[in-house]
Amino acid sequence: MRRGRRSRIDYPVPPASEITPKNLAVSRRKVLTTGATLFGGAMAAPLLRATADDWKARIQAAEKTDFKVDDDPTPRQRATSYNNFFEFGTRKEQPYMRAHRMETDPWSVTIAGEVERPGEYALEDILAPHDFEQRIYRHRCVEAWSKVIPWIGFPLGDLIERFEPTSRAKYVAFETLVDEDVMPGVARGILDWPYREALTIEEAVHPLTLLAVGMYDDVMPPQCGAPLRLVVPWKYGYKGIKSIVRIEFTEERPECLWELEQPEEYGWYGNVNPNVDHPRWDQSRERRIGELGRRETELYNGYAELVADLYPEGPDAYW
Amino acid sequence: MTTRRIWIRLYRWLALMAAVAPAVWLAWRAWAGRLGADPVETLLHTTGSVAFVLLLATLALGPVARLAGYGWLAAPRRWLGILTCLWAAGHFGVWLGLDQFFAWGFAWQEFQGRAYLWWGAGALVILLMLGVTSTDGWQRRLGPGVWTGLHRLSYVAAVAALIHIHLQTRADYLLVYVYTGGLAVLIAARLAAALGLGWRKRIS
Ligand code: HEM
Repeated sequence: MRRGRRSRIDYPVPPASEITPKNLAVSRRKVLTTGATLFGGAMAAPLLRATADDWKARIQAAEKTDFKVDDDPTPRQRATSYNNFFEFGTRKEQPYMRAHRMETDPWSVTIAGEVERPGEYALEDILAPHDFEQRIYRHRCVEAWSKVIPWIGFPLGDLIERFEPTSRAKYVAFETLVDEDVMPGVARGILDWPYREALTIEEAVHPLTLLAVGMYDDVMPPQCGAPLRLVVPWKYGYKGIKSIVRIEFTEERPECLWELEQPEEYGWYGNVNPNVDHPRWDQSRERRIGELGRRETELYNGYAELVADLYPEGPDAYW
Repeated sequence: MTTRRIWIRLYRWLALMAAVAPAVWLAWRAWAGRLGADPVETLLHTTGSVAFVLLLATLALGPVARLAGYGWLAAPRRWLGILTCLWAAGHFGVWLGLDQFFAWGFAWQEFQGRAYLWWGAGALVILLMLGVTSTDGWQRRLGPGVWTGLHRLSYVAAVAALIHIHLQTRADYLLVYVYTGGLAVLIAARLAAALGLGWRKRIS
């Protein structure tokens, strides 16, 4: 029924110079210090604002951007009751039923590794200088289902720039909270926690890559990764790590949890690619949550035009 | 009809209703729009799980009856067997009809290189075969020896279904362990009975 149906995405296309990682490769420091054009207004903001930032109050005021897709967003109830957050259990509804027990306020994030300003920062301070925006992205899970989500957040690149990675920073690694008191999947040790994910620095500063603090005009529900999660719309959902407590810059490629667990099923890059077959799920199609039948899956989840330059050897070499 | 027969009848109907109840529950949830965020997944998971649990329950009736020394405990075996078959067929129907939306080419493509589907299909073929031959007519036609031998394939179906479930499980294997334990006990009981070991001898 729906096969063959493709939805056009609609987004402000940044000039190629802004999205090629070559800038960074040539002279990352230069880009980082003269990055005002690349990163918008974030440079003007002080590193840390001393005042307590009421960031939750700023969520509803988030600017609606032109990042959208043709399809309607998935109804909020569906999107927030069907989640993979294995710390809370492997069934899709378990995060919805259990994640509210997670304490997300106060929250702090450790910035570590190859960076000029390491430290443990309160979430308010992390968020204070960043203006939030709404972006409607497709979300494609490696399990061959998908959603369309109106996220609220800011480009990860803006944050990275503030903390000044050194020239040795080639990768950015993330970790999720571990709390066995409220996380049954952690208490039972079903995976080698903590949840760890990583991006190349070029992927991390790509303008599409978002740190999200909310969705559907509201704060992030706990089951979706409150208070701070990663959104990388051209990658499978497992790359979009939830409830981030640590961001580390590294020279070596970090190992990721799913990659270690099942390397043949969860590639390090995790780029959405209908042509790279998967042992368990046919990746050429996907079921939009709540629909019958399947839609066609697009290369890089439909964002090929914006991200193909990140992968010079062609999509199939980065899976 | 003796009171004993009435009780057995009642027991059989109760077993049948228990095996049909999840379908009523699903139908009600479907009508009320309460099949969860992804109804297709809910239906797939529920039909598959009911089919497997019913299969184990059907296999358990014989040993339980023997162990307890009451042959009538095994009375609902045929009905439960047929319902197992229907649930498994429904599970396949949900997959083909609602998930794949009868896109035959793609459904076939999905089977390529995905072992868990082949194990499920193997189990389903056996269950369908046993369902069709479950009637008195077939029992007579095949003769007791062939028929019993054929219906021992239900254990093969159970193992195949278990592999089907195991292969698609990620991270949390608790349920797989429980299923495996249950099936292992049933197979051990069957082997013990076949070898004429232990309690079976004393009872029979
Ligand atoms: C051709 C036959 C079959 C097909 C195509 C099939 C297909 C599927 C699919 C697609 C799933 C969901 C996989 C996922 O969520 O990733 C599934 C789950 C399941 N199947 Fe089957 N299946 C078949 C036969 C069977 C049979 C005969 C049984 C049991 C007697 C069975 C028991 C199950 C169970 C229990 C699950 C749920 C596992 C879980 O969600 O934890 N399947 N099957």
